[in-house]
Amino acid sequence: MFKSVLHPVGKTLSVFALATVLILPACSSGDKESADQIKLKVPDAAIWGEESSALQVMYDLFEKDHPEVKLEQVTIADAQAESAALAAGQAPDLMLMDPSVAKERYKSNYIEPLDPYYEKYGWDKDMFKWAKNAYVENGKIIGVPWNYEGLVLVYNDTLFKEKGWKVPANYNDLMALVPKIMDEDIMPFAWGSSDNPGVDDWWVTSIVNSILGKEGTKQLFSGDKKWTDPEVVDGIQRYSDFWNAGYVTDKKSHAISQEDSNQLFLNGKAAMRLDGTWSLAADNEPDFDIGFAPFPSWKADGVPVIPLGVGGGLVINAKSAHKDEVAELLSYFFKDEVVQEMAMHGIPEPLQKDYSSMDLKPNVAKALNLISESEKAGLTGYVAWSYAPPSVVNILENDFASVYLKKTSVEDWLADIQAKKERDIADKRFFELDKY
Amino acid sequence: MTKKRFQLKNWAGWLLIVPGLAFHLYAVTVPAALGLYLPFTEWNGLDVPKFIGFDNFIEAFQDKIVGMALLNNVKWMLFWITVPIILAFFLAYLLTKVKKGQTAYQSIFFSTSIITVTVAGQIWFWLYNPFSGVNFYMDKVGLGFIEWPGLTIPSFSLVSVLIADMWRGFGGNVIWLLAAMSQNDKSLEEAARIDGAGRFRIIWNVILPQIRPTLVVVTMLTALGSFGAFEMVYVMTGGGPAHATETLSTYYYSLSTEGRRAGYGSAIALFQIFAALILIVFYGYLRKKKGWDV
Repeated sequence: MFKSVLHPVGKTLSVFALATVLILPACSSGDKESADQIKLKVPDAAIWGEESSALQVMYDLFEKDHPEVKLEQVTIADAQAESAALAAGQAPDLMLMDPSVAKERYKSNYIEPLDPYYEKYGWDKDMFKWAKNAYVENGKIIGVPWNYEGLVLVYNDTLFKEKGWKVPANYNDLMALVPKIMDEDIMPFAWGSSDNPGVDDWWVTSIVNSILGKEGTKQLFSGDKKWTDPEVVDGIQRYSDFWNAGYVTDKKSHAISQEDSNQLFLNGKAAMRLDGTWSLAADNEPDFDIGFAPFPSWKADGVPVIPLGVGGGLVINAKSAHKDEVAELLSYFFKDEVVQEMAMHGIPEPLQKDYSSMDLKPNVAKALNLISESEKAGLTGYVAWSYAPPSVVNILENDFASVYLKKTSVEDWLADIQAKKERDIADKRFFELDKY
Repeated sequence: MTKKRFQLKNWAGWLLIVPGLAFHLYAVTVPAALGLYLPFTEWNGLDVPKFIGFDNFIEAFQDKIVGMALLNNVKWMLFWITVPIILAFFLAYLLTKVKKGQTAYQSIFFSTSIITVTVAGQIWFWLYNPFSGVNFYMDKVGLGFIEWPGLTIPSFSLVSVLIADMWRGFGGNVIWLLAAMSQNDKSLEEAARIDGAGRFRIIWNVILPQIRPTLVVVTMLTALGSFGAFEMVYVMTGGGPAHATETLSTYYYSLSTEGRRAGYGSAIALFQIFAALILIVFYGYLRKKKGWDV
């Protein structure tokens, strides 16, 4: 009996059958839907911890109203994994991505245009036009901007009041203040970029916006203004000098992380920080009051400007089999509960809303008021990571340390950025900010 | 044995390798073939790659960062095939002399190798922190004059990352070399000693020649691994500050992901393959011409 079973042909067939049994189930689709239930793959609501908790609120509200749809939360590790998932046709139905990434992917037919849904649901009724335009490509709206964010000066309010220091409004004020701070054996600025050199871009963004103003920054990012123009060269050179004078983390910002630098500030070892509005909802409890102000203008006697941008956006996968259902889910992003949850975490949706009735943390309320006032006065600008051409952003986010560590000259560095900008514009990889 | 039976037997063999072969084609052969084509394209990782001839290679030869990264890879290799291997050799030698608790010592030396790179990198990052790490406390006790700059001075950053990487990885080399030494013919050492040879003469003329095959393999694997240096750099510095710790791997990774220039990144990755090929040819030369067989 065994002999017959172990006959070569029989053996082969047995192995083949076993392999088939093992392989076939793996080849079958893992996301079979039951006859009466639709399954949508959506971003993991815990992707940024509490900051992204609004997604969970949106999912819960939607699922309550739509028992026929099941939401499966999936975690995509990074942009590379997302690219692979898109190419393999396995990406989620709903995705979160930056405007520049969304535009590249739209050109590759991975992102669904949302114009019919904008029309159907009236999503742009209260939406800031500049935020919506971040997700416009070739006349098509391709995403729903998730939040808006800005860069602000965070300072030790208690210390400033105690010493009678004035919050600096421009470069002259700042240069008058920093020696006084140093005399107290305190660092003027806490800053850390070792874990994420991309944050150095915040300084460049703040500098060029305050030197060139809103219109000049538009031109710098997508128009005729050149990165090699003397005022830009001068501004970046002054930052390099400022850093090398030891005013930024004692010339060691490249050796510590953002979190380390935050701790230096919270422990009173530094007087100020450059920070984003998204971090204002953090439950830090230092033994001093924290103050917020627009970041000082880098012009000698200029007026501060708050650079604003879109932090990300929700887009629909063009390969999704259930686009209408995803759009219906997206419409829940505009429900009051979700809007409030976003604002509470310092990442407000880019909508004209009255936040005064919402129960916001004091820091968040202060920051939102600050932005609102600056916007009314026309003193807001554009963050580079949202609006500069992608190759320019890549240099700003990876190579600014070469300037202040004197591995390259300011002129050469800016000439390289200008060359990259021109190449991106020739390749039509840029935001048409003149339409904003 | 009929012809038919013979054919069936052949079929059986092919059927048995089909799953493995299919997986290899899908996961290795096709990506490898694409890897040879992509360097000649402009590709953002999503679109259909656009053929651009040798443009990426021309750009790579003009790209200062590629030169820095390649040089860092060479420095990485030179460090790894000298300091950790010499240290591992002497530790392994000392361990052969330990009569009691050898396993405990081996475990201690090997223990750092089982720590993940992420954790090891973070530990060293904390140690190097100028405001709360070792230097901070050395300053406090008046020993600031011997402090190691860690990541604060770019020209020291690469060595600082290498020290962290060595701390994590050199235990493996100790175990390899110890295993080789334990196979040595002890009577040769004894004979040399009777003939009046000193300790270093015995190491040089008796021990080293016997473990040479293992040493060659360990050195070769270490050198090859050096050209793929990525994890510790990525965890500790991401290639910074100002590309001071950039390696070819970290550079083409950032180009392919954040920079969305996977075609150009692939061209740079080819440099690694060339470096590996040169090392393999050199190894082949040692085996054939010098008789350094394993």
